[in-house]
Amino acid sequence: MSKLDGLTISKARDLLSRGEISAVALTEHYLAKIESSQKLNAFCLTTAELALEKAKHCDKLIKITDKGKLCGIPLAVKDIFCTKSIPTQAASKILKGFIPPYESTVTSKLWAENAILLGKLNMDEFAMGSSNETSIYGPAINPWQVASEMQPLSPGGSSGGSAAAVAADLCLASLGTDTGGSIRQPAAFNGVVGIKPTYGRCSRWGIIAFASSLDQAGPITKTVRDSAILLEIISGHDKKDSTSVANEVPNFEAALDGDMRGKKIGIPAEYRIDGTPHEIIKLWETGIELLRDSGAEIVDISLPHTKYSLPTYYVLAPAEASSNLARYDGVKYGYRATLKSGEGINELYEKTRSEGFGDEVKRRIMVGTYVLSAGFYEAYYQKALKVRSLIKKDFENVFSKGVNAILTPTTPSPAFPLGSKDDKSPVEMYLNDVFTVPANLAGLPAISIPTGTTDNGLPLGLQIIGPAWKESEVLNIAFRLEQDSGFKFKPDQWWTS
Amino acid sequence: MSIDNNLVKKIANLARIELSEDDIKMFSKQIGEIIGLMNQLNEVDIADIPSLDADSSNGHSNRTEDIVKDGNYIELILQNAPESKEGFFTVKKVIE
Repeated sequence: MSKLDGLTISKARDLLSRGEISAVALTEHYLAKIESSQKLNAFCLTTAELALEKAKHCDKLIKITDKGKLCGIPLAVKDIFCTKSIPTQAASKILKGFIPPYESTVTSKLWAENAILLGKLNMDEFAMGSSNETSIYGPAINPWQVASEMQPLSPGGSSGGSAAAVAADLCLASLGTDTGGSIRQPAAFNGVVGIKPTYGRCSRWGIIAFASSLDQAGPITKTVRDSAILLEIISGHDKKDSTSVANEVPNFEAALDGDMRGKKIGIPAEYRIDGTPHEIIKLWETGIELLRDSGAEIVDISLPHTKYSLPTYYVLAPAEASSNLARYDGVKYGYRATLKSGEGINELYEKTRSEGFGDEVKRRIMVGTYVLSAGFYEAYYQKALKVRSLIKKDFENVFSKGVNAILTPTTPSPAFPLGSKDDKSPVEMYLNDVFTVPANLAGLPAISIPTGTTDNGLPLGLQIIGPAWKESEVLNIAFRLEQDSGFKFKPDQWWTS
Repeated sequence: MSIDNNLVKKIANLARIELSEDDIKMFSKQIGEIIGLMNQLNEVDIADIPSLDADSSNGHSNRTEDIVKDGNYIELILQNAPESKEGFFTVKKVIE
């Protein structure tokens, strides 16, 4: 094993600044690993030449104090972030050939700190999915497997490639986006850390839009410390996104002291759902015990509207998607269908969208169109907005009583085999998001951290949800659990060619 | 639960998505199931919630001044167009 294997951002940062490793060596190491890990299909594009060029530049800066907080750190980002002059298609055929003439705000913040881009990561088409199976590139594959079965498992979604790449150590860390759990669910499935910040913490400018009132970018990393480091860099107000808020960005890393004394952790009764596997219940109970042992006070709480989160989400997210995705018409960018003679502009729109979008995207556009259409707008869309306000109020009530954060499982199951939900109703797939969707609806920060495994060795995650703007608190509790749970498992490396 | 094929045709037309007969059957069934999930919202009492859109934001109100600061990106924008001509997007003739 080389000393470059299994590094974290914080360790690599130290080794780089002490001159013990070079940015070029580290970048070459990851490019070679990506090349030999193609079976995982985690990357949809690599930017080797640009990465090496940037690495050389970083190595020249190494003795300069003001070299950037991520100088020489190789990262990768989900295919949903617009990257200037680098193809970006949100894993959809309809954006085939699209080359953004601009860079998303959050990624530009990484490059401004001299981080290195290794490539773009696989995802569900337009971030619509919980298994990575709706991607035009084919699904990324979870590096974890049940040893006795050797069956390819889903990396989760939508940021499946982002989580699989980090778990397989193909980059130091990655960025994903989370609309209903798309950072946290794949993080849980792949045994890595993922945080969705408060709505408004990061700019959404230059991120291909799915549901604008829910979408947030966030890091997927090997450790809580690394999440703190990346989150601080991508946070902050952006004039180009009026929903980003000009609140002060704390030093998240400095806040990691692991001190749980005086903390009140809420355990919501409504997250005890019938049919949850005993391993997940056990994981949750162990997490509760660990926090109690470290000095936190555990309190039972109630979030009465929890069960309406999924129906609310599956009205609002498709409604927003149907209007955001109206721009894909075969005229301005991406794919355009070939027309027969006599066909006109309507056929151009209809055929381009029919051939360019996958089934899940079509389903959501149509559901969104339906709930926004005359006669149904009030019954569904307006009602869902009102229920959303009740869900938000549930959380506010709990936090106003002094609860610092809420502990729940991240997912109702471990990673499932690819293809195992093909014959099932789409609603069955939506149930994956049952524990993650409420934080999006309420705009709250939430993290997933791996704290244990199933009996047959698949990783499981716990989720910590905090009040708006309290990412420091959420990260610190996760940091404590990370120390105490001792999760150190790594997937067996079966995938290298 | 299934919804009417004609309703799916109507929605697909509004969304400008061409569907085959097989697609219509498949989506009727699936969208019906999704509407079944959405119908759970009928159990919630929302009588006391104001009819204005619920504010789901976290306190943003960052209005910027409405001034033109940049522009002239015609070339840059058209680079991504499937077809363009003389500084415009081109499509088939719309007016006969």
